[in-house]
Order: sequence, then C-alpha cells, then structure tokens
Amino acid sequence: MLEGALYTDWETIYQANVVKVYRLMFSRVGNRPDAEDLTSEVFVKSLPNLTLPSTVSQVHAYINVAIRSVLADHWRRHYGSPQADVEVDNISRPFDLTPEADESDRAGRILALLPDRSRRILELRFLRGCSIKQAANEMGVSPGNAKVLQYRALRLAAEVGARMLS
Amino acid sequence: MRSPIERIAAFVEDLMRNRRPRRFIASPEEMVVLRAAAALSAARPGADRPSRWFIDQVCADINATVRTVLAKRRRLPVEGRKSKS
Repeated sequence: MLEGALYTDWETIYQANVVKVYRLMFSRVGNRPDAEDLTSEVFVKSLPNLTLPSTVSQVHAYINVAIRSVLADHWRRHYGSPQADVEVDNISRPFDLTPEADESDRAGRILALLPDRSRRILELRFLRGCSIKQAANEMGVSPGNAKVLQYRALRLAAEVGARMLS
Repeated sequence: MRSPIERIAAFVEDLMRNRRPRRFIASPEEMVVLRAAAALSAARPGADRPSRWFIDQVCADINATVRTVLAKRRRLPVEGRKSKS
C-alpha cells in the first residue's frame, strides 16, 4: 500500500505486514520458535490498541516501535543485555519479494571480507549445515578447535558487519 | 560453568537445528557474537519464510484479542455511568 493510503481494519494491517515482521525478527534471532513468538507479540500487543482508520505511515511507525520494544525485551530477558535500543530496519522500506535475498547478500559480503579459515568455518556451519564434528573434519582440526575458530570467526563477522553499517 | 566458546557453540547448534536457543547471561562480547550467529543463520536459503499455519494461528489470536479489547471498550462507558449514579 502507498504511504498516504489508509488502513481501515486490523486484518488488512496484519496480512500486509506479517511476513515483513517475521523476516525481520528471524534476521535478528535466527530461529523459528523465537521469531514466531516475537512476531506474534508485536501484533497481539500493538494491533488492538491502534486507532483506525490510520495512514500506512502511521501504522508502520507504530509497528516499528513495537518491534524495537519486543526485541530489546527479548535480549534483556533471555541474555541479560542492558542494551535498550535495537537497530532495526524500517518496515516501510521497499520489500524485496525474493525472501532470502537481503540477508544472504549481506552475509555473503561479510563472509567475503573474512580471513580464509574464518570464512571456511562459517560457510561450513551456516551455509552447508555441517555439524561441528563435520566442520572440524573438513578443516583438519579437533572439534574443540573448531568451536574456538567458530567463536573467533563470529566475532570477526560482527566487526565486519558493524563496519559495513557505519 | 561453561566457557563462552562452549556457550556460543551450543547457541549455534540450536540455531542450526531450528530449536529455541538455550538462554544464558551473556557478556557484552557474547552478545555481539550471538547476534552475528543469528544473522548468519537467517542467511540460510529459505530459512526466514514463515509457515502458513503460523500466519493463520496468529491471525486467530489477534482476532480473539481484538474482540476482547473492543468488548471492554464498549463496556467501559456503561460501567462509568453506573459508578456515578
């Protein structure tokens, strides 16, 4: 829907935005059970309190606030993160109909900038779905060493990702 | 107590199996690492597609919640008048 258009019922809001919200949540938590719970929380908490009719941009702003709040609460409750503000893409930006395009592109660019062994362990684990033992075998190291490599590679990937955003 | 390396390895293992990851109090460095792991997990082809069952189930939940909220709003003015009389 266009930014200036009006939403007149919650079901249209839900159907127009649920996939975007789910994908955004999945990109932040990386697993289905949490992504489903957080997506549900965003809509169940926010939609009944919306005043309708509302413009598309108002609804998007409302949902974006709910997403930030729900995500910040997730990291705080389950991992003790004191960080209240969560970096979140704006839901009103143009939606890519290729579901996994954005995340895999960004991940590919991050992996390409990593040292060989870091890139290799992350490709084996995340892109090829290898277990830690299989990844260790492929790389000729012990499973314990593979876990260390994985930790360091993720730390490097986070640094590269942060530099790409800044 | 497990080391950060073991905790993150267990977290990644849960992501790979699409399980709800185990919870733990993470250090600031671990927070950065586990968010990177979550982002990479989402890059797996097709991983971030919601199921039709989930979309329909949440829709039903919202329907019930909206009805409850609207029913409460309709009752509120009536209760307000009763309390004044």
